[in-house]
Parts: sequence; C-alpha cells; structure tokens
Amino acid sequence: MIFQQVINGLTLGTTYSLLALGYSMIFGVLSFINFAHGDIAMVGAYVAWYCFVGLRRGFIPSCLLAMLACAVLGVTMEKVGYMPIRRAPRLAAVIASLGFSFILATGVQVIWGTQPQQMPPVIDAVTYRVLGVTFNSIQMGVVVLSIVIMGLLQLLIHRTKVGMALRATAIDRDTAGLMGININNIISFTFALGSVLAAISGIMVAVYYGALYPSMGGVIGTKGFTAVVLGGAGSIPGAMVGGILMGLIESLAGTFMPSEVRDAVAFLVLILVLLIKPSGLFGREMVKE
Amino acid sequence: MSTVRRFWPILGLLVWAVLPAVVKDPYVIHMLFMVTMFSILAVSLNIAVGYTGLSNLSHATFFGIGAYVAALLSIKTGASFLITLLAGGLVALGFGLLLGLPTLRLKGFYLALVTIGFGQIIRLTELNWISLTNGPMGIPGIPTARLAGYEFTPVAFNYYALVILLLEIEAVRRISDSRIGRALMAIKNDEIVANALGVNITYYKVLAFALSSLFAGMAGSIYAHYVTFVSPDSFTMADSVSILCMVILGGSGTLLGPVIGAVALVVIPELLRFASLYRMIFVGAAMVIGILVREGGLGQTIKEAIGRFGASLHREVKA
Amino acid sequence: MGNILEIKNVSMRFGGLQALHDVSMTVEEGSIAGLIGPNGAGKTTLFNIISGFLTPTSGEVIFEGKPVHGLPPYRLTEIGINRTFQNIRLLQEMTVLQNVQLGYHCRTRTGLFDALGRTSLFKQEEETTRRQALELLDFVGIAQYKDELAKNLSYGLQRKLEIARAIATGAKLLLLDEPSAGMNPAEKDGLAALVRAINDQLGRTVLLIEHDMRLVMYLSQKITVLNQGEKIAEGDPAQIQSHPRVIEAYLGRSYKGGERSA
Repeated sequence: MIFQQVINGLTLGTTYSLLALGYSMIFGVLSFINFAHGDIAMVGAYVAWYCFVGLRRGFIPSCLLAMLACAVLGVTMEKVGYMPIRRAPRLAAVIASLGFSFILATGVQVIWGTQPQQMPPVIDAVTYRVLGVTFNSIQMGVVVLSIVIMGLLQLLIHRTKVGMALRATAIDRDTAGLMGININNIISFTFALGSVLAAISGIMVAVYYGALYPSMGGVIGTKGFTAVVLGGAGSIPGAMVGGILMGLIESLAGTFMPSEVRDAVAFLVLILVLLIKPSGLFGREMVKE
Repeated sequence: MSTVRRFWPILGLLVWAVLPAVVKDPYVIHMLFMVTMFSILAVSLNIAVGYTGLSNLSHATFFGIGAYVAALLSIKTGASFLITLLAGGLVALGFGLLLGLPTLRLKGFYLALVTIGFGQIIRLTELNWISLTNGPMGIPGIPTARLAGYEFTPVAFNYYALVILLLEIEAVRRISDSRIGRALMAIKNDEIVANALGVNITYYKVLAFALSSLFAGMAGSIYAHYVTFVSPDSFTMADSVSILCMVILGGSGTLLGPVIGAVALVVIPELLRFASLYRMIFVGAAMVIGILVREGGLGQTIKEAIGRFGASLHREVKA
Repeated sequence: MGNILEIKNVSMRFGGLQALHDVSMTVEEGSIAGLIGPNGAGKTTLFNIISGFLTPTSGEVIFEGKPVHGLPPYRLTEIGINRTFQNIRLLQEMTVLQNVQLGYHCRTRTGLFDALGRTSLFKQEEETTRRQALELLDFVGIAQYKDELAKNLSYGLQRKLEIARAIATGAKLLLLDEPSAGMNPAEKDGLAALVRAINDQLGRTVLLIEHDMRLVMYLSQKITVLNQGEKIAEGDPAQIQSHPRVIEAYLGRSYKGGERSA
C-alpha cells in the first residue's frame, strides 16, 4: 500500500520537479517568483492537446509544437513585462506576473472553453505488477523521461559555456554583465528553457490524469513553487528534490488523511518550511541580507 | 499642507459624500459602496505594504475573517453591527498576530509565499468546516445593520463605510506623521540601520501587520451586513491581488494613493463587465501595463515616441 | 578624565580567518581618537564589535565601566554608542529631517495611542525632537535641505547627514567609519572642523577610522594602529609617525632594509 503510494508520488513528483526547475532558474536570475509559470505549463498542455486531438497530428510533433509555443510565450513575457522593471522592487514584478497569469488563464478559457478537456491515452498503457505494487508504462515513461531531462539540464548548467554564464548571472547580474556576458540573452534563454520544461510538465500532468482544465496552471503552479521553497530557492538540485518530495508528501497524505486535508498539505508544507528553514534544503541563507 | 494640495482631496470627498444622496440608480449606489469598501482595504494594506515594506498576498483573507465573524456573531447572538465591527476587526487582528509573529522576520518574497499559504489554508477551512461555516454554500440571512429601530438602506451603508474610511485615513495620517510612522518607513528603507537606531523591528512589523488586519476585518463586518451573505468565494486570492494592485498602482506609501487605486480598479473592471469572459484579460493587461507605467517608465517611453513622431511629422511638413 | 571605552584582549575569528587577535585599546572620555591601519587590518571588524553588529570570539568591550560586548546594536544605541558606515547607510526614501528625527527614536517614548490621540505628551515630544533635529541640521550645515529626500543629497552632504543622525541618538561615543572617504580637500577641511566642533561644542567622544593621514593626525589626540588583526602601535600623532612598525606596515619591510628598487 505504502509502496504503491510511493510509486504514484514519485510520478507526480518528477512532473513537479520539471516545473520547479523553471521557477527556480527564473528566481535565480531575476529574484522573483514568476506566478505565470504554472499557467505556461497549462498553455503547453492545451497546445499539445489541441494539436494532438483537434488537428490529429502525432503526439511527439504536438509536444514539440507546444514546447516551441511556450518558449516563445515565456520569452515574449520577459521582454514585454519583466525586462523594463528589472531594477524596480520585486513586488512590482510579482504583480506583473500575476497579471500575465490572469491573461493566460482567461485567454485559454476564451479559446478552448471553461470546461475540462479529455486527454486521450497517448500510448496503450501496459500495467506491470512487481511484488504487489502495480505501475503502468505511462508512469514509467513520466519518471524516466523526467530523470533524463534533469540529467541533461545538470550537464547543460555545469558543463557548457551557456550554463556557466547562467550561473554567473544568478550570482551577480551586474558583474556578469561586466565580464562580457550578454545578460539579456541569458535571461531570455532562462525563460525559454524554463518554459519548455513547464510545457513538458504540463503535458505530463494532462496525460497522467487524462484531463486538462484552465485553472490547472494555478493548481500545479502552487505545487511547483512550494517545491522550490522546500528545496531552496535558486538551487537546481533543490528544485528537483523538492518536487519529488512534494509529490511523495501529497500522495502519502492522500492515503492517511481525508481528501480535504490533502489539498491543504502543499500549503502546510510551504508554511512549515518557511518557519523552520526558510532557505530550504539546499538554499543559501536568505532571511538576512 | 498648501491649499492647492488640499483642493483635490476635499473636492473628492464632497463628491463622494454627495453622490449616494443624489443618485437614484441602485447599481451606482452599489458600485459606490464597493469603491468605499475597497478603499478601506487598500488604505489598510498600505500600512503593511506601503509604509513598512511587508509583502502580503492574503489581505482579502482578513477581510473574509471579519465578515465571517460578523455573520456568525449577529446570527447566533443578535449582536448589533457596531459590536460585530469591533469583533470582526479584533479577530482579524488576532489572526494577523498569529500569522505575523512567527513569519515577519522573513524577507520579501518568502513572506509573500507564507501569506499565500495562509490565505489558502483559511479558505480550505471555510470550505470544509461545515458545522461552523456551512462550507461552500456560505452563510445566508445575515441581519442587516440597524440603528434605533431603523434598518440601514444601501445609501446608509455608503455613509457608514465612508465614515469608517475617513476615520481610517485620519488614523493612518496621524501614524505616518509620528515617531511610529518614521520607524515603519525606516524598516522599509533599511532594516539594519533601523535596528541600529533603536527601532524594535519585530514590534513595529507586527504592529503594522496587526493594524492592517484590524481595518480589513472591520471592512469585512460592514460588508457582511450589507450583502447579508458570505461564502468562501467572496474573499479569494484574486481579491487579495487586486487590493495589492490598488496600493502599488495608486502609490504605495502615500496617504491617498491607495484610494485612487481603489477607485480605478473597481470602476474599470465594472465598465468592462459587458465583455464578461474577456474581462479578466483586460484586468491582467491593466496590471501589467500599470506596473510598466509606474515602475518601468512606460509613460516616458510613449511620450518620447510621440515626441519623435511629432518631430518627424514636423520635418516632413517643412520639407 | 577616565576611559569611556576599554577594549580588552578582543579576538575575532571567521571560520579559518583570524580577523582580530588579542587587541586591547582605550579611548579617553572627551577625546578624539583615531584608528588606522592598512586595508584588511581589522578596523571595521573592531567597529562592528564595538557597535554590536558582531560578537567577539573572545575578549571584552567595556563602556563606561560596564561590559557591553554581545549586546545588540539597538541596545548599544540606547546606552550611548552610535556609528556611521563606511558605505553611507541613510534611509534613502525619507527626508533629511526625518532621518535625523529617527535618530531620536531611542530617546523618545510616545506610542501608538499617543500618536492616534495626539496627546499633549506626543505634541511636546514631536515639537522638541523637530526643533532639536533642525538645530542639528544647522550645526552640520545642511539645514536648507531638510525637506529633500536623503538620496538626492550629494555624497559629502550625505556623510554630514549620517553624522547628524548619529549625534541625534545622543551617543556619548561616536564611531565614524572613514568619514572623509570620497571627499575633496575643501570638503575634508569642513569635515575636520565639524568633528572638532562635535568634540568641543557638543562634548562627544569620537573614535574615527580614517585613511587620510593628514586629517587623522590633525584631529586625534591618540591613535591606535592595527595591522593584520593585531595592534602594532598606540600613541600620540608624533609617536605614531615615527614608529618603526607603523612605517613598516604601511610601506613594507624593504623600506627599512633600504633595498628598495625602482
């Protein structure tokens, strides 16, 4: 029973990790929580669904298109809304991101309606039973794909020139600029990459539950930024671990507690972490400047 | 203060005071009441956000707490509206202390996240503690306010809310122009220096947060008696966000800026009501554009662009 | 007169770095004292300890006969020690007058209900601090800017405002961290006169960190020299100028050995 919940939690958790990575990278370079990030994941799910179901294209091309669309969306958002206020108080950026969140969630409602849509199975799910624990090929696919993507991201950040530039920008934007790094390009790149990961995460959630709806951005977004806080804002490994923990906590809480309480678990975790260790598991100390 | 700077606020107050008495349209009376209500909320949030620099994304939650307290108290005990005004305010203040005491040492966005979490937990409590709150169905049949045997009309509610708003503005004015106000602003500017100058950071942060919650709770009580129905959907995070926008776009840390923000952000979405579904797109766009104008110099950029366009026209005409 | 401040065997360690090692020094009440030393000597660390921003790893700080090390900054402000910062820290978005008024925060008592009710105590206290703040602004010579935001003042004037704010706290001992940094010669002369006036006319004891040797020699009755976390000399300006270890610390060993190469 518990092992079963661990498997389910792990599946959910890796999708949260992908979303959390975007939150965390954006926090790293611009020091604010981009509340529209969950909505980008939602848009990604919708674009993939529309292309797959509405336009009857293959699933893989649909996903690629969704990733591309989200990347363009993320970069546009940054150029239009966040770049002009980089030096303003961060609360201003938070409000702009909430504005974008309203625009995206309502925009999707206008285009595709307010009702939930069904996501048909993309592969014939094969169910395995090992030692009394059942899992299906969709779950396996989600976990394996997420782990591969996270591994590639680690390589990108630690082994490539652009990764180094990204880390430098996160540590000190102005100094990185003086060292000849094109800050605007790095920030755009961060938004593009984060949005692509968000799209993948949104599609995975839609496939896993077989459904998608306009307010899912807010729902999974909350899990995503809670995962970031849990792991430590600005930390890449923190976002990965935080996401997986979030999935496990939610899944186990669902087993042992009434369902109403389960919805509150993410927020309880959020508040507890902030009270006990605001810097999260892997974060730098952030309470005092 | 010079006479010129006093002119507009006094004119505004006159219009505000006269309108409910002369307008006959119940819809306009209702809108006026909502403007006053949100002004009370924005001015109170400004104490925490504008003067002290504390991020709070759950102000509507305190508004809701005040409304629920007023609803339950007046239904179960028949308490008068002035009692529920105080009780709503004080219970909200209590929750403000509960949230503030352990969390106010957190910086910027961490505090914002805690307040979001707090708001959601209170909302889930309202939804699920059915024996107390009647869950998502809400609490209907709240007695309206009554004075000397007369029931308050919507017009009377307008004046009731306006009086509370004016008292609140005067309180904020007196606080901001005092040793306490300077301590709050010092915390916003530089906590380390404020501490070194003998300002007790925790005390003043909690004070600001508590005052902010107190007025929100009072607004909740007024609202509960006015609409006679409360439900969890009346006090959402979207409302919190919108109150925060009123403060930031109107002018955080100024006395009357939040009132201007409240007028604009209540009236503009109302004017867009015809667009129904599209409305939130416009609201979102207004938030982004508002921030760009206030913090990103968008107004200046547009002015310059128009200036350049004008200059090029001028050159063409000459040539 | 006795010593207002005594530092006894203070050491400060940050992880593996020994920032101060067994430093002892005294400041006589009513004097102007200087604290000098090359970059990284530990001067600002010592200031941070005296003003309560750091707690020493070992040793004692005695102010007016009582141990004060380990007390938080606001307690030290109440007791009578206040400082300025090397990189000026004003409350940028507040007016010049408000910055100084805030200096009186720890000397005033009115609370929320006094402010809301505008009690006679409140009016009297506001009136007094306002008048005193204006007098202080006049004293440091920036009274005409009282309603400007602090961030709009020039660098030199910001330094003066920060000093005015420190005086306003009622500090008996003022710690000035590089007050002349970034000033031109004329401004430095003005600053020297101001520090003298704070000492003569207001009777405050001053301890200053300073890199400008001419200024510190002119102002200080006693100078303490730190190098690499240790005290290497102490004495009046003339003694310091001719002290072999001071010369060595500032100019390097080669000077003494006469092996300087071009």
